[in-house]
Amino acid sequence: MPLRKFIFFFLLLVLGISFYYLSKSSEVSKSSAKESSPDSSSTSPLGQGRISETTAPQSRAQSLLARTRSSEPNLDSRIIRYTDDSSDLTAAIQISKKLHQGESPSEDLEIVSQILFQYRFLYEENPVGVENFEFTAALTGDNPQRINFIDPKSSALSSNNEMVDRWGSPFVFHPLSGTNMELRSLGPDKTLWTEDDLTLSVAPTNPKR
Amino acid sequence: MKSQVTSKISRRDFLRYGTCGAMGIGSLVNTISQLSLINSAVASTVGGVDVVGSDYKALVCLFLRGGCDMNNVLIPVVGNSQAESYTQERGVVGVPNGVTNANFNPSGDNVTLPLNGTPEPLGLHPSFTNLQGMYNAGEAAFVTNVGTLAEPTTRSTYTTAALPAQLFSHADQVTEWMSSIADQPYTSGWGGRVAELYNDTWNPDSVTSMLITAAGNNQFQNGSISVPQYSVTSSGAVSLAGYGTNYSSALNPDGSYNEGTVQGRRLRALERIMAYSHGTLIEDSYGSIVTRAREAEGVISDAIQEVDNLNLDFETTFNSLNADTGLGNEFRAIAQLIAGRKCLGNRRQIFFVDLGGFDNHQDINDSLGGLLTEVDTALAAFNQAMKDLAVADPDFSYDQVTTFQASDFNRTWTPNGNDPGSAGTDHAWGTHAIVMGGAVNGGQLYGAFPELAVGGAVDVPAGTRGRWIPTTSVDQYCSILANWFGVPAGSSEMQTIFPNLSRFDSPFVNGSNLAFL
Repeated sequence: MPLRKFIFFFLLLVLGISFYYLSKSSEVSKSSAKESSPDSSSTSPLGQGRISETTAPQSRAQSLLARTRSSEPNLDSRIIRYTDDSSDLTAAIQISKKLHQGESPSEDLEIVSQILFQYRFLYEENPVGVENFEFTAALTGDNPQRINFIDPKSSALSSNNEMVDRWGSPFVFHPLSGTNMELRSLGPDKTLWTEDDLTLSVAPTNPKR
Repeated sequence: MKSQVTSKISRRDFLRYGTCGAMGIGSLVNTISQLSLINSAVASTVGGVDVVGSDYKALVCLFLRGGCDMNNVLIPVVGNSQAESYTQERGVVGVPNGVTNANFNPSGDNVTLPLNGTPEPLGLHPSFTNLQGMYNAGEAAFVTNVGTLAEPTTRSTYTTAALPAQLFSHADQVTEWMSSIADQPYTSGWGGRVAELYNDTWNPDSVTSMLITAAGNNQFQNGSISVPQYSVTSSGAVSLAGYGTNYSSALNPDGSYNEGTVQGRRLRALERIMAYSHGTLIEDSYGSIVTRAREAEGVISDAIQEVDNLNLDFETTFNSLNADTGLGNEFRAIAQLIAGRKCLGNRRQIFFVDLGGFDNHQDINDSLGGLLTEVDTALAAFNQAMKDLAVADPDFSYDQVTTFQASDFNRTWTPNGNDPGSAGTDHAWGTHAIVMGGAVNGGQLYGAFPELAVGGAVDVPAGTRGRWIPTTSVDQYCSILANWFGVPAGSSEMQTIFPNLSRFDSPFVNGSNLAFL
């Protein structure tokens, strides 16, 4: 009899846990599907050069912050795993924490280039895209292994799901090749192609080659 | 489209096709080398001095580097259902097209050049004055919304289809246009593969390369093991420096070394050293390349002189059309080599020219017009030179040379700024390509002209800038060119040159709307 009771309560417990995680993961997949494209109502026709002004219903940063850390033993100290099967690359997260923190605004371009370096370390090529939101999505988990490279608390992650400079303008990404990216900040005047623009070419270094 | 498949299969064809079929899917390099051997075995010999005769065809590839904004080349004008959205959405980078718009065209100007016979009214960029005439005369055409594709892709399959590697990056898209293999690492260009397969068959008496570039080494002509690309300058062959004009300080009029000069003795020593066997493969290869280049240099120089023998003056032709430009000079060198083709000994020749500067993220209104003018004058002068040659040379006809154009990609539909003095457009995808020549069924648009709208039928989903998903692949576009050049449709050679072609609808059937040749 006690054995039957034990099995009954054990099965009840397993069912409860399964139900909890299933409902959790369905919420996450719904929100990540929603985030993979920008909110069209908040998108200006100028794309990369536009200023983020409106707020998306739920930002990518918010959904990253809502994740629950996995309780399973972590055998790889370079990553932090979450229950939704996503993970953070700790080296990249640490680098991204420096965004908007340095004395010189041009340091931010160096930091973005280092984050791209970390991405290339894993995937051997830069994220693919033209518009800022495409690169931001790839660097915040919309990639084959669902790895996040940017601290969700970073002020560089805008509510419009774009990586922005310290004046709030989205960085401009110019893909020269699969491993060489030119980066641009619109500078304090928030206007593209003016003298205060900051630029940086990301060297085509690939740590695996 | 002429089919080269005959009902009666010869013993040679049986050997060639049968062996090709038996190869299955092997590595591309091995397949090419084996096919080349088979083609060589069945090649017919051409004797005599004139090894070319009237059997000649040339393909000329014009590559516009940086991603030309073709949205401003074929422009919907007033009366076209897409004209108003063009004016409104292209904004400060739009060309006045007759639509009155308070912000971008308050007086409703139309500076475009009308094209005849398009389904809806279209105008050319105002810089293309000569191209307009060639199009309307049936000497040029456009293949619309063509681009790199790994497999057929639509707006609804964009997120699940295999996409070209590193879509939107310059270097990768250039490579994929030139290789016509969008989903594999680069190994060779399709021009190089054509040469590798067919040079021995088509050019058995060749005395110089089938692949000649006036724009330096390029990936389109690269990858052939047996046919290296030969580089010429816009003024002809690349000579060794320090020996006087045409080696006048080093060589006697009869071609022997002038032992009385330092330059003559130096050239003799250099060429002897190059002829030695060396200790390493690299040294040997270097020596053979220099020796081969010296030999080709003489041939090229002779070919260039043939224009004079035909009483043609291409310099005047090009100058009179304002084509005395970098690109014009490249085209002039190609025209001279076509005139002197009998010196080169090739019945099939592939040329390459290019023009850079089209990556107009900034200042597109200042830059694009001048670049397109350079393209326009160079194409017009080359076209005129080919017509003049057809008159002067009874063995040459105007329809033996086809020029085709390519570029990294098209540019975004919407601009990246509101200031007409600084705004530009960014990297996009499906584009329009110019084809020109006597064999072209000109005055028409081929492929499917795209819906020009953000969020439209062929726009990349989720984007906000307008990037057209190609409805014609580079494979389909270029296979038409290769077929005209002599590669049979449906052959294993065609499959080897364009390994992804079978993934797409055949461009050779009625209804493909790709019969531009």
